[in-house]
Amino acid sequence: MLEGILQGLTTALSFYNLLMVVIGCLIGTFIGMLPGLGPMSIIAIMIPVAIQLGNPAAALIMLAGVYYGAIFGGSTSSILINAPGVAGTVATSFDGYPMARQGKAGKALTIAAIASFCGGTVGAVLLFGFAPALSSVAILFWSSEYFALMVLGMTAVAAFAGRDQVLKALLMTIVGVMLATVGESALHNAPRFTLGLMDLQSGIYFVTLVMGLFALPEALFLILRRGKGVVESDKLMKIENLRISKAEAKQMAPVIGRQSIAGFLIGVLPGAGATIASFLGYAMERNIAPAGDRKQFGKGSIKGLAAPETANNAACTGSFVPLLTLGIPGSGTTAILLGALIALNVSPGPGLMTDRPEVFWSVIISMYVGNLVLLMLNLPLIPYIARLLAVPRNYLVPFVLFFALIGSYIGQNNPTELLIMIGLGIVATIFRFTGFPLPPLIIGFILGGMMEDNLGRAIRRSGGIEFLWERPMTLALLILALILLIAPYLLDKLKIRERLMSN
Amino acid sequence: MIRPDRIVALLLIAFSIGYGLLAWNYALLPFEEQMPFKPNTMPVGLAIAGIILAVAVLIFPGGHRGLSSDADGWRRFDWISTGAIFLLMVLYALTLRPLGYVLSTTLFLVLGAIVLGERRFTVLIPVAAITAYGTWYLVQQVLGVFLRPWPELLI
Repeated sequence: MLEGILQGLTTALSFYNLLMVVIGCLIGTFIGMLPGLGPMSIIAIMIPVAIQLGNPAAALIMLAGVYYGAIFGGSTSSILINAPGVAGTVATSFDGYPMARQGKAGKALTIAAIASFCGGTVGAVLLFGFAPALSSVAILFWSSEYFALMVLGMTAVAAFAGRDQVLKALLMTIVGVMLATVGESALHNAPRFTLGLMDLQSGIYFVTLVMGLFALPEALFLILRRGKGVVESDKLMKIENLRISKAEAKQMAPVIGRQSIAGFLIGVLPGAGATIASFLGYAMERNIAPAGDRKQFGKGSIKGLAAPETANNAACTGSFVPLLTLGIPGSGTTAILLGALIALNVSPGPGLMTDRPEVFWSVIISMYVGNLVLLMLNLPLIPYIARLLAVPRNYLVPFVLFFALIGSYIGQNNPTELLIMIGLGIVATIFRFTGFPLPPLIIGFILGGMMEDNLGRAIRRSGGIEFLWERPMTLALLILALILLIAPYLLDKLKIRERLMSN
Repeated sequence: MIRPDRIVALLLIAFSIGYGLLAWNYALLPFEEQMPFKPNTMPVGLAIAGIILAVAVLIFPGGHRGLSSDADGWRRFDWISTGAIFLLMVLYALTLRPLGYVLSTTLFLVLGAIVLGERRFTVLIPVAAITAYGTWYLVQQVLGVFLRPWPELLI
């Protein structure tokens, strides 16, 4: 393991890869700041570039930098204009924006950056311990366990979609798996569901799907909602005095300590990502704060700003644990990263740590470097980067659309791909309008192929579906998936009964 | 009026049935018929799950209706510009090869900004042209992906 760590350290600290982290963080911050553009779209836009790099370690390091940068950029727009670019930073605006309105925008940004840095760093240290441990357990997994694990991952994402949306999320997951079956599969060489179209022979191109589902609708929503929440340059808060006092640092410290660990653990759970971690972190700190401090929450509290910022970054790091060790993405963003890895011929899973130690460890180490870059490079630059918020939408939207279109085009060099993407964009816009969540669809799509392979292998091995109840670990994972799905309903029923009894 | 998410659920029932029919009628090779896991085993299962879930959404659509619950919002949305941008994207896809990358991209960026209300052509046209040429240079020269820069007629 030590050899692997050293190999990862050399890879991560090479000049080229350090440059990739810096570029990734800067691009992520730039685009993540734009309201409406989340990390999924930004990573999707950057995937063709990452694939062209050819080197899986460099590609993943850059994309991880983009991910962190996007979260940091989202915090910046939450604080400065009360318009979070990313769902995970909505809680940041609760206290960040009031602070900025009190003329403490610089201070709020510093607190956010330090909290993010600490959250990310503690997360990276925990990842160091967690990932190898989980990898060694995962080596015992057979294809039947992998199948069950994928079912668990998909149901967890659906279960965390929100109580009113579980059925819709499950349906979207199934649609995603259906789309994954288009074209040739690893087990069967004959193409399926291509409707005679040659362009679908090798399946739906993953970048086209991601762009069509995320980047395109988000840019189109910016047009649809023109006039609503548009930022004028004079509304932009002035950023002065980035320093924080010792007393403020003392106030932040315990919050950061608690939320780094809590955020990381939430991030490790499949389905619960940065958004849930940040809201839970905020709620937890408000509940345990002394009465005087509690009153400050929502009015520019330092604790209220530090809590979600620490938790969301720690959760981002945590979400890499299931991705790197099991090859199971816990969120839409990590699903997109998994797709990028597969495109680069790297299959994440328990074998990654032993087969490609330079990729495994360099990604973990580069996360730490990424946090350092955000703190040392992006924070001083933020007054300048923030000017991007004043760029008129008239310019911004066609450019974002162009990058989405061209990202899909350069991957395949085929204009039909663009038409498929526009079609997917229309469908995705309708889904978003009607409350059908899209992340489960992408997770279904990414995991669909692997799920079929593992299911096929397991059935061939045991000659039927007996493995579902004969292998204890498979059965346990499937039962856990079932519990995740029905637990919210049962808890609801219990609460209603309790309320009726007390009345 | 029927809720929009129920209409989507109905469409997804139709989609699942269509997918299921394609899966059911999939022409298996003679040796595949004896296999415990056929190429259409999982697709048939998926179609059944899709139909059941879509019917469940149709019956219990839940409280979350997305943006469609905001009836006034629908009218205030800028549908005309969005439609125009969609058309422009289709045009861009169709002209990318005949017009070449640089010209079609410049046109897309300029027309897109005009649709959204931009009128400062002295800024817009150079910015669009530089972006188009700059990205072509990056993609072809740095990343090494071939993109036809100029119209087919010229080359």
